Amino acid sequence: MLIIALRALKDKKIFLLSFVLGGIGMAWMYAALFPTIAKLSEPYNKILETFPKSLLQAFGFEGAFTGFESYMSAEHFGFVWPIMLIFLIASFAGASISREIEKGTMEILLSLPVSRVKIFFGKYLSGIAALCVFVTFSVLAIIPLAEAYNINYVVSHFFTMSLLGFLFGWAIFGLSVLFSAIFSDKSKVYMATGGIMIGMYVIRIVSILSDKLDKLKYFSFFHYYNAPDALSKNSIAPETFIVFISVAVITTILAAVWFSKRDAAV
Amino acid sequence: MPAIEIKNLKKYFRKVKAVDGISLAVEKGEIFGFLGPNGAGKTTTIRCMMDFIRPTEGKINILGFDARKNSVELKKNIGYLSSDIYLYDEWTGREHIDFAASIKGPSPRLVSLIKRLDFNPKAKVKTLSTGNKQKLNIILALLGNPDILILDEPTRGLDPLLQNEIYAILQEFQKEGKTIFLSSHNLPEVERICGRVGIIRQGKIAAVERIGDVKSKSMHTGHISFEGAFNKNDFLAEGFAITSENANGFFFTIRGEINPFLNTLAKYRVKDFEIAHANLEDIFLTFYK
Repeated sequence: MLIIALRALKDKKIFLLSFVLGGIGMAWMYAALFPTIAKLSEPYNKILETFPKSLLQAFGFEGAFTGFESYMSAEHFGFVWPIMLIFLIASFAGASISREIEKGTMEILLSLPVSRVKIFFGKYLSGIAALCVFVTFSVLAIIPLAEAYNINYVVSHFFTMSLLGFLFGWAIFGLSVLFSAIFSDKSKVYMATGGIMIGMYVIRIVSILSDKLDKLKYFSFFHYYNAPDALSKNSIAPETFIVFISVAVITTILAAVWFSKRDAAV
Repeated sequence: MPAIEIKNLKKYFRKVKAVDGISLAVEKGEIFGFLGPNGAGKTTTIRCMMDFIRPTEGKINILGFDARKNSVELKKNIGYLSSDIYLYDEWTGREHIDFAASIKGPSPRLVSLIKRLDFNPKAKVKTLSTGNKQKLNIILALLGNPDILILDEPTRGLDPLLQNEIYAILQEFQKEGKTIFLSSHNLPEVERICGRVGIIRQGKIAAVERIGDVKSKSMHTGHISFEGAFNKNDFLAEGFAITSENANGFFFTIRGEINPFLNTLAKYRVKDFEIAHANLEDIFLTFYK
């Protein structure tokens, strides 16, 4: 299983590295801009006050900039970073099973004396490892960047953000891997994952903008992915753990069972 | 106990009956040819044997073990070669070999095999020719000293010299008491190395015969043009048939021996002449309706 995981990780190392560097690069850009933004925070906050609170919430602004953490949660972790995470995760999930079946290379793995469950978890492990690498480096790289630009920050908040990012990514990975186990065409995995994530994002915005549809927010991962709380308040709500872990575990089990039972050659 | 035993195997893809109730047994130490035209169900049967796909009905036993329930254990003893070339483009041949060997175990004949097939393991797969990719496929199939080889069209894409090398390797395997299940749509290939042959057509077994019996069913097709007048009745003999005629000659089929036809032909001045082994579909239509 470990041989399969390491090989899958090695095959996508350049891809993973480009995402990590991209994540760090984006964070660097925001960190570099922060000292200037901080100087303008008073007029900037006044502009923000003119917008309806729900509208700001819908786009990840929880209120006025109170420091580096709230700035990063709105600018970096509110939109760009989750999109990068989703792309990375969906790609690993798509490559794990459906691409192997689509290209026929699954026959190489299946002809070896290793069970389907081990093949599945070998591939799964490579995705989890990629998730850990991306989250760790792209989030924790902000700490030295903040040091470099003499920005005040609280270290523990970025560790909390890493944990939130990992949980968010794990739940998405679980879903994507389930699609990868079902479909024999990786583009369907990307479409299904992307479609669901866009749907969830829309649900989140609609639920914030409309009081009547407020309850819909519980069906969106973006409701539980609360970067402002993680970064500014150093907290993750208990339901975030429950939802993300439940989704990740259930979808992983379903995917493993499905892959074990399906025809794995086309 | 047969090395491979297939009982009433069925595999349906919705309404398509890819394999429809085939049964056969392959004895230990035998080279068994699994012969059929494209789309007959050969690859589907082999994929069921390898547990890549699950049968709709039926049972497959290999070395006395259920091919599905004991799949992992069995694959330690099975060398498999797929009909299409499925390799990782970005890996080198060496990476493929090392990866498979790390799971399947080392191969005692790996170095000699690489040398014998004149294969360069350092090149990336995407730079290899079809023939070289097939060489790598064969090396991978023979890794780990398997007792059974399941080969789906092993000489596809190889030149005649390499085909001969593969036949020699397979015959050496057989001498070591190993069993070989080999699919092909090439009758001369099967005639050359197999002891018995199972003939599959439209998902059903049409016949399982010793190779000598199959050889007696050999069939040729051809065309002849004469320089002058000819009497087609001179050629009429058992197994000979004219399929169409024109002013200068005719198209024909010959079942079995071709010498009587050639002896008659020697009496004439010939303008053009062409003869070839009949394709499998023609043979099946003639012998296994």
